Amino acid sequence: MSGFVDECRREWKRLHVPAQAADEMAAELAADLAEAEAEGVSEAEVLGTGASDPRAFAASLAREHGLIKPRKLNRPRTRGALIALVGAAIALAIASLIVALLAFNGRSSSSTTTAVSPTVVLVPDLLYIRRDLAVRKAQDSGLDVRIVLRPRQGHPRGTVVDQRPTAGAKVAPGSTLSLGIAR
Amino acid sequence: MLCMGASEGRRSQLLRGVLDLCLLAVMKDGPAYGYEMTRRLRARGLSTVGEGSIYPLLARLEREGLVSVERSASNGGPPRKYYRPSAKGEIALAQGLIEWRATRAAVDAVLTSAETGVSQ
Repeated sequence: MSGFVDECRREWKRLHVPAQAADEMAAELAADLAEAEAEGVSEAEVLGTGASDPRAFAASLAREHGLIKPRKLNRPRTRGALIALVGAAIALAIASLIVALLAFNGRSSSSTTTAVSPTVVLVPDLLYIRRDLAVRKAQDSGLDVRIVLRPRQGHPRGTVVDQRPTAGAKVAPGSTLSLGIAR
Repeated sequence: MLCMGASEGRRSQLLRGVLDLCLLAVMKDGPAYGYEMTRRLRARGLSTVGEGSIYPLLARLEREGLVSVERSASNGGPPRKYYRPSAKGEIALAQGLIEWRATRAAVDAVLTSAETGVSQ
């Protein structure tokens, strides 16, 4: 058995991973490493950077199996930071939307257009529908359409496989909606 | 190549976000144990992963119910743990594929516009 697997076992023991679970993980690794070795393939090729740090590897494997608790101490802090980050991103998005809307309003009021038009358009969900239908819906919503042909990849020819911006986005009327169509 | 280390670092970082999808994709070709997946990825030009390893990822997929696991004997060797995508995993793969394509297209659009400005 490889020294790597032995070191993993030691770490699992230290982390109080149940013996049966440790045996199973060790067996899987040992069999794969043995097969790779027989083919002349290095441990690094099988284990990635994990090869150089068996203890960290063993801990992350046990964690992902749900055998030990996620890193305890810095978890809440990380989560707090994440929430703050997401909050900041949302605030920024709202702010830039407001700026965009103000700018747009400024432009339309200075023009001579008299038609009453919405100041913001909710991008419709056009995924997986036929191209002609998608284009009509987009235009009905007040959006310009740009067609990009994509490889079919199992989708029916002529249907929408992706759209930018995604459904639910708020954009200025006349914005360009890019539709990926399966060729 | 200007700086091999930096480009390998980027490659592994890029891969990290989609390696779970790649694993689901190769095990869709037929149930596979860990090293078999490494081999299939390598055969398609993805020499595995300067970053991390597939095993913690496989564990995560298993815990999230995205793969079903079966232990059976390989020819002559010890029993192996075979993975294949569960129904939930197939859905995750299809959704991930759409996200990947949308992201790839958007990044392509940005990077390609930069490329046309380069005189070389």
